[in-house]
Amino acid sequence: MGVEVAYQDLGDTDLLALIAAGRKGALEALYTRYARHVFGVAYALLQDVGMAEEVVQEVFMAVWQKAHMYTEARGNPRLWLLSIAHHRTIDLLRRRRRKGEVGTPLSLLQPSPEISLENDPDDEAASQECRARLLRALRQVNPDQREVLLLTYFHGLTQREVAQRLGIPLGTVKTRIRLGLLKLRSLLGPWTETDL
Amino acid sequence: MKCGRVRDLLPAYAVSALDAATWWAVDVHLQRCPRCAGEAQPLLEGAMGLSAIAAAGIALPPALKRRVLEGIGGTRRPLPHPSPPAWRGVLTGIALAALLAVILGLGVGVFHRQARLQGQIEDLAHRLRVLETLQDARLAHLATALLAMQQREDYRTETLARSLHDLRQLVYWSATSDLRIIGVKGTPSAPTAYGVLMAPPEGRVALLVILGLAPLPPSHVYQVWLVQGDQRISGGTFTVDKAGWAQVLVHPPEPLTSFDGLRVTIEPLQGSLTPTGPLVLAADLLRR
Repeated sequence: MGVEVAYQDLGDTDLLALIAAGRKGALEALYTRYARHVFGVAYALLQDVGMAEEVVQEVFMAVWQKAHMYTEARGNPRLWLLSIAHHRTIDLLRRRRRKGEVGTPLSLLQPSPEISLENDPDDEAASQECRARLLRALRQVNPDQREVLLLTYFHGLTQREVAQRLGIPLGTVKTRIRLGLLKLRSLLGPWTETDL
Repeated sequence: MKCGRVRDLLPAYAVSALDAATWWAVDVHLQRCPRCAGEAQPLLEGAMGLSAIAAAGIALPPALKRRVLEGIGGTRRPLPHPSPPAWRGVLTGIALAALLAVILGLGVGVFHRQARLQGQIEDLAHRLRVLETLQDARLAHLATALLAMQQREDYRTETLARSLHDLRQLVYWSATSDLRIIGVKGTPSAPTAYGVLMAPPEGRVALLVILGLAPLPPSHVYQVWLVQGDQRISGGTFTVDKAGWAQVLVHPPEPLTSFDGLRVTIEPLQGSLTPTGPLVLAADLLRR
């Protein structure tokens, strides 16, 4: 029996509860909320539309099948979803690297119109403003910490590979990642839906 | 995987800088350990900033949504969630039947009145169905919460069993001659506090016994830190009883000999990633 529920008005946790109960509309609402972010991360790292789409499909399939495993103790649902998305992207990136299919490294601290698929001028302006704000925050992170964050998050290196590449102890890599992430969080402040 | 090991790996987990097997092992641990999940939150929020940088300015391919939704069609495996109680369907039927009877009682010949009532019936039926759907979702959510409670209870039982095992080990070690007993001194912030740290030299567990610390308000805990160069690695949190007594099992991620010292600070209830509160106890591990 079809029932109209205003899924878009529900919070992420409620949507996951409904997805766990088999409500496809709830998954669609979650997709509308976060798919662009998931696709954006995957595309920026992989530089391949087809593979980025594959990541989006896998992530939302995982949400559909594992929503019942999510508990509020895990914290914010979008952090859970985006960490799955990034992990899957990094997995693909490492596979490509092993096959020698390494794409052009992403130059994050430079303007990168080449990765923009945006076609709405208003959306593009808002996105550029958001990106500029985020990059300003990243530039304020200590350069040593920023370097480690870029090598791990965007280039897919493990913490051990970073230690070897930079010739620094593993413990130092761990500390730099931790401090860099906490600094970035404090600079960006609390997240809202519009940030995504 | 133990909490101490997981917490050591959390920064790398947040940026996916672990091999796939270790990443999933941490992820599974976070599903059942609210405290570690709480520690992961600020790191994941920082990582979300990085992902937002990557995602800004990129639009979704329009056809992707259809493919994703088609992709999940037919893949659903039935998930356990409570069925709506049978009485609710009966009540819904009774309500509808009663309304229909009212309509018939008012006279079949009054067509416009019947039509209006019919509309009201449909509206009521729709509302009932919406309520039923929401109730299903709430019941499913409740079932999930109960499952999580059960998992937490299992986890506590496992933790207690592990602590008992560790204590038995310490009793065994206490009978050996190489047990290290290190004095822990109160700082000017807690001049009456003192304690001892007992551990085998290469052991991965140590017993910290403390006396004379002031009981804290419910919003705060004492937190143990292992000092290694400029790093401070959390060794867990604890509270003291009214007499200022506490005993804490510390699980160093590496042998105790690789640490320079031990510190105890006052921190917020959830514990901190690095020391933020006043230092109350300290011990030097290097010169031992």
